[in-house]
Amino acid sequence: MFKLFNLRKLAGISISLIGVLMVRANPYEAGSSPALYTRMLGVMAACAGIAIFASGINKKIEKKLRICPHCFKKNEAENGFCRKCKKPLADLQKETE
Amino acid sequence: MALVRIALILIGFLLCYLGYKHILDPLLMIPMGAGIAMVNAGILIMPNTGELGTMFLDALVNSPAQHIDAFQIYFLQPVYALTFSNGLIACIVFIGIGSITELDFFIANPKMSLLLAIPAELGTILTFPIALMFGLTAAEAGAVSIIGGADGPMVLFASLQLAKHLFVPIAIVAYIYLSIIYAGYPFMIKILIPKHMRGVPMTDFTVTQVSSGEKIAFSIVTGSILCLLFPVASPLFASFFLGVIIRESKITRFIKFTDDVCLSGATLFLGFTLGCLLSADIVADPKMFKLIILGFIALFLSGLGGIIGGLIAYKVSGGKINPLLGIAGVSCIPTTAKVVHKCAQEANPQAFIMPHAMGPSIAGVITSAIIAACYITMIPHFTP
Repeated sequence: MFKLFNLRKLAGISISLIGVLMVRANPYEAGSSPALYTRMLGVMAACAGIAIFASGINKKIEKKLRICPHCFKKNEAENGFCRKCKKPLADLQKETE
Repeated sequence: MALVRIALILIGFLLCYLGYKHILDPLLMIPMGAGIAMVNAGILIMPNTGELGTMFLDALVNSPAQHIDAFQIYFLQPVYALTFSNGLIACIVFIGIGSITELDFFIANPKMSLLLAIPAELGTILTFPIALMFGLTAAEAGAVSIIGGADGPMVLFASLQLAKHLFVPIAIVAYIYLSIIYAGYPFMIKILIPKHMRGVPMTDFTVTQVSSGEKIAFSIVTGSILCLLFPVASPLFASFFLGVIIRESKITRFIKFTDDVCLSGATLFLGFTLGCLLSADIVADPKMFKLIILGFIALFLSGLGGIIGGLIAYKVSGGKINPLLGIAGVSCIPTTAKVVHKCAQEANPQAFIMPHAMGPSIAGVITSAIIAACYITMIPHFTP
């Protein structure tokens, strides 16, 4: 289970929890005027924390794929020609422009 | 009133027909159209009250004793009282949406997905001040603004929390507009984005593999943080991430149940019950006209924001990102992703943007849920 957590994820959770504290334990709430900016800042901090947590997810890049424009078969990006229809995969950008 | 009822019967027929022809979303429009036509046709003088009513449901019952009576008279009353009044139906739909959401598309490129999803919330944010200018209260304005998020269950939940008295018209306006997205956004895309940009192929994509354990951990952590932030909206977050966790746990029985039974059953009853709630007196309410305009503004602005975001991404990437991906950020998962893929293929049959469009679409669900939660949490707190 501990393998699921790394430093970046823990940093993300910590920042999110700071954001939660800013929203939930708003020190200005006791006063007469509620502090909207503190809450908004807290929400933004929490969202940034979630984004940092997401960036810490261990991604295993399997392979880069390219769809054949002619037969829609998935091919490995390095291939110059489609495995199925043998037509070229490159220079799609130029074709459309 | 009689003329309004006849018009509503005809509108019900029309919605059914458009759904049947797949011009509008058939899953919602067929039950909703049938409900609208039949509830307005089935008017009778109620034997217990002597007033005009139907045998479908009574949305105005309050006391427990009235509920017990209503359960025995109106056939849809149990569905309405036990699943609509508390937002359960929205949560069931959200469990289903979670169970069909493939997080890989989002995790493959979270930054791009989120950056494209944020401008697509333009309608959700800007409609709020516009609605205030239309004379709505802050709570009513917040409820109608959520239509810009293009997420039916979210609109349902937010309107129940913020403006229960307007929940029926807001939900009906939202669902009809969400169906029109099928037909409306392609027009907008064709007008605002040149063909050579729509046809950017994006045939290269990276297949990333994230373990189920990682995705479950992400769901639990994100769900818990969002519930801590917005306890009022926690049922929605809990339902969505429960659906994701069920999918990633690979428990086939649960997956089958959430996908086939929960999502399909809830969509059917949602459409039919909403249709049955659209009686002539709701249409005659002067606020309905304002809601129709504001709903249109919300979805139009969200689409516009999505297009602007997409065009910025196109420029920044040096023409490698198809600008249509911005529209996919207007959540409505997976409808907008399908719509933009179809538009891209029309411009260039070699364009294959579906895998790229799913990321912003999923990010759109998360961003619109956060904005909805902000409205639900903060509006009651900051208004007298």
